[in-house]
Amino acid sequence: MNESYIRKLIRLVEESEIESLEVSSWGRKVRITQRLNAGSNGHSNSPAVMHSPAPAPSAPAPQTPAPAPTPAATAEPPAKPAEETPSDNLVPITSPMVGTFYASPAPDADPYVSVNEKISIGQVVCIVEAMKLMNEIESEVSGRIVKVMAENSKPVEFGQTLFLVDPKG
Amino acid sequence: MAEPELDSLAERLLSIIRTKPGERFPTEKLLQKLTCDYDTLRRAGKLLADWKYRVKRNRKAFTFIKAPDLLTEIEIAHGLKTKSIGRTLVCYRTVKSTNDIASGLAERGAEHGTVVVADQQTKGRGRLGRVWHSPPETGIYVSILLRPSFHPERAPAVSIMTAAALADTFSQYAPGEVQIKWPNDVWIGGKKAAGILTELSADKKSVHHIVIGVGINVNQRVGQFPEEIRPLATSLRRAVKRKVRRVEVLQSFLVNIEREYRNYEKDGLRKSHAKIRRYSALIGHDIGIRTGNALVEGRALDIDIEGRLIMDQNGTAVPITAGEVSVVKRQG
Repeated sequence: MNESYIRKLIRLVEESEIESLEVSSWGRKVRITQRLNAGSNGHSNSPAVMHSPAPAPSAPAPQTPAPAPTPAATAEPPAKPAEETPSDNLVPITSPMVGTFYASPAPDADPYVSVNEKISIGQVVCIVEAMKLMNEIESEVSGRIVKVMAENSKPVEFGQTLFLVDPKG
Repeated sequence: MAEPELDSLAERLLSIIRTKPGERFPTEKLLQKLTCDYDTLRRAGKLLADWKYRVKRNRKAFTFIKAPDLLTEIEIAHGLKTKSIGRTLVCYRTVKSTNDIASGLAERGAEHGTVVVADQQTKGRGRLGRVWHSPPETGIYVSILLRPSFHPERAPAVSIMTAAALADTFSQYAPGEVQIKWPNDVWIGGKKAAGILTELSADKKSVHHIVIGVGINVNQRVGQFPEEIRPLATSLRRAVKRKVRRVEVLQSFLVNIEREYRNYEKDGLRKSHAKIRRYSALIGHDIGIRTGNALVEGRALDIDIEGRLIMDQNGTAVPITAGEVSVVKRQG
């Protein structure tokens, strides 16, 4: 789903009388909405685009939708089960593989990060081990650790949320 | 002559005379080949002796007798039959941890196949901060830097791929006695002779690099192991009842891991799957798997093409990717 494809969709919506068009492809979803004013054919309105990497098992990116043209447009159905959907302003750090979660480099060592700690991009936050391969998980966001979602030395699934980070924290 | 020049002259002298061990190379010819005066040649010969090479030297001729079993660039590179693994060699007398050095080199852009070797580690690491006992002049402590193009999901089987390469090397010394304890210990005669610590640096889409750290017990005597691991540990020397050249073991391992890695990149474990199953110390045995505080028991059925251990748990075949495995010993 590249830019020119999305442009095409926008033109399609602009030229039509439809209020909202949603297309999903390979786990990515785009929704284009426009306000159809009474007495006007709507051509003068520019559509709003919402682009979300929706039901992919990996991290849902923080959704910062464009200002919604209509109240209805904000009612995005949740793409994942409720317990895995963090609240709007929190960003999850997810597991890139099936394995065992370790919060610290050694059983008697301090954890890599703890709640309320500030983290930066690229900082190691934990280890996920699979078949004795030690995968140091680096954060892809900066912010503050709000919650540790996985339990030490317990199995984690691919895409499972390990930490919640407040990027404004 | 400045010292670095003398070093390189000594290396050139060595490369000439070691081509025919035991044979006399007349001094006159060496002087012509190396274009230096006799005093410089004499000092280069003395330097080789300092490097622990046994060379017969007199006014008339130089004769190469024997190379030392030292893990130096010169010795490892001499006759190493690999294309990429070990083409860049970084050798140390003593380091804290070869994996730490290799990770650091990786961050600074070191190339695929870079190999870090040490004669001794002062903070040899195993998984989860465990210690790998790494005394000097007996073992091999080596880390290999890989830069795969495959997806991070394919990285976990690198541990078992490495175990297969090690098992092949050990089998040259102790055929029929070598086993892999899934996924990353290599046993000789039922005791651990090598350990593997694989560390991955990746994002969700791509692998930045993998560092494979390997500790090999080569020439340790039983009494040289710390008491607490003595019943569980062994060395190549103990298996073959003679001293083994570490350089030779390392060269063999580098050749084997280059082949295993090439095969794995191309089509996963397909080529080595049968061999890995044959080496397995677990298949057909009752085992226990400890994850955290939970212990699950059952029979090890197989190792699948992704390198996972397949275990029978109350009639269901469950693929295992985590946990500490032990063989359950039954009475009678």
